[in-house]
Amino acid sequence: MRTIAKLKNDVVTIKALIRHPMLSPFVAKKKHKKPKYITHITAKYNGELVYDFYSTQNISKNPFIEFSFRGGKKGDKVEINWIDNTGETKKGYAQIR
Amino acid sequence: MNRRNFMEIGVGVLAMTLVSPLHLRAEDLRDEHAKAFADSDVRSAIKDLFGSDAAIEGGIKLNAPEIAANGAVVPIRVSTDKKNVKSIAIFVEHNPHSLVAVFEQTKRGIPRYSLRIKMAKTGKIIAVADVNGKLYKTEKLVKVTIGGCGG
Amino acid sequence: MFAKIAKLSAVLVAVMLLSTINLYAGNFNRQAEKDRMALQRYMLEKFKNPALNRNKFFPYISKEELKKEYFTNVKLQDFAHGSFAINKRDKAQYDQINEIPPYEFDLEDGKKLYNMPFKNGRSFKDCFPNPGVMNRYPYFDTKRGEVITIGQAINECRKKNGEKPWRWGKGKIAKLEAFFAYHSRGKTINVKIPNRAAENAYEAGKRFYFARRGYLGVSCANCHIQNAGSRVRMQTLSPLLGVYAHFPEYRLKWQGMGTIQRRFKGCVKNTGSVPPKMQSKIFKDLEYFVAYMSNGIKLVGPDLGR
Repeated sequence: MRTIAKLKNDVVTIKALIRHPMLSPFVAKKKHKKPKYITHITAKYNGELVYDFYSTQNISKNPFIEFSFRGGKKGDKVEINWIDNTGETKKGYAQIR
Repeated sequence: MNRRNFMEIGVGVLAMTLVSPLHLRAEDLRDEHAKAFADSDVRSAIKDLFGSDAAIEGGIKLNAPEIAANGAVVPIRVSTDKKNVKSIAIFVEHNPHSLVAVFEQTKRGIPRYSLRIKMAKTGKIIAVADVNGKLYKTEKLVKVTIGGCGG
Repeated sequence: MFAKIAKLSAVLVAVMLLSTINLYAGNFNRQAEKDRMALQRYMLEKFKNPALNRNKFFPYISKEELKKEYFTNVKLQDFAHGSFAINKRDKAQYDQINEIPPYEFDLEDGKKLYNMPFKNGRSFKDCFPNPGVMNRYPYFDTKRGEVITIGQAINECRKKNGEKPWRWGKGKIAKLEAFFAYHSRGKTINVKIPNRAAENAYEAGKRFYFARRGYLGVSCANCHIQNAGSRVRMQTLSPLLGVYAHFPEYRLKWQGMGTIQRRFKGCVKNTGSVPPKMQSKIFKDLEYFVAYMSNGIKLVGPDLGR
């Protein structure tokens, strides 16, 4: 996971690139593989949910996400979690600059 | 949506637990609105997700390229200035499943999102926002090329 | 009469000697330089002001579109980014997607591959102590009498160390090339033509580039010189000038990294003809020609592609 978190005028903007094949059922069938795509991405700041994204197989491979929330401090970390249709989960962090 | 209405009945404690997530609830929205996630038709997907497909045109800004460099990665941006946004959903015509994304608004979150989507072919991207029970919608036509020299 | 013949042969020998001396003086790149400067002049003029020069270069695109969609005053180094330096619409999407480049993960993988030890304990570090090597390829090896490309060098390193060669074009080889390219950014392309054999290789590559082929009956030059900047099915054709600078490429179509040889193969297929094998003599000569045409331009790879 590659992340960038910037603070400007009390608004934190996060950009992230998540490594994931996002293999849709349609393409998976052709490749004789099992579909594998992220279904839910969330972000927490100080334990509070600041991003709640239901993803589908229509999202491009290696999903890029961008979102903003109010009120953050430089140096603080934002936790980003994802889960996919196979149950695999991963956690990453973005440090606010 | 059902879950939101349930929250608004004013069960404060429930609202508190829902706001402090301890785990990813990947199943919730998909379980409650399974049809929406499987619909190939945009209008029925909107209906399944929001309970109705009656939406006011406008109120949402949707940025998408007029001609996508490649249908596998179409970068789009969606935002709205409206207050009390409950959620924003993105749909696309002509994909086997038309629902692309659902953003549930959070207390501190700003209703402004970027994402990169797959488009099977030229068609409309539709953004629908649930603003306190009222639906707003906007759409944009994106041309998807086959590939230059037939490649 | 014998005296006359003797005189003539003496003159002949003298002329031959003089020309060979000229050759040994290292002017094997004379034609190549002419070609390169002609290409630069053409491209710089073509993309100076597309709307203004519509009749000369873009008769099939409307003036409105040229004014709205095309950059003006494209400089030599700008061409390193191909069609993204020419078309505003393409550039906008390029900028968006480059916010966090999709090849970041391939670079990670490339770094791992670079450091991973072979079975004999050595690694790519022994063949390429400094990963910033892309500006040294391709080159003509005068002893072996052939063009050496970076892809070839990578697999020769593997073979030398008892490892099986990698598949050409994509996957591991493309990721390692991406890692090399990343560390070579800013270095200037400076392909040399050291002898007659190298000159022949250059000319062979050039001939391939200009030869019409396939059921479409087009050559590389038709699309990437004559029609560079024009559109085929709504996609902007990239120019030959600068193309070597932005490889290997993360192509959105491939959803992954690919080498220039992979692109050659795909392009030739698109003309409706059977492409030569990657890293065959003709494709190496083609890479040699294509790279030479980008001499003077600084490397920017790995980069995005359509």
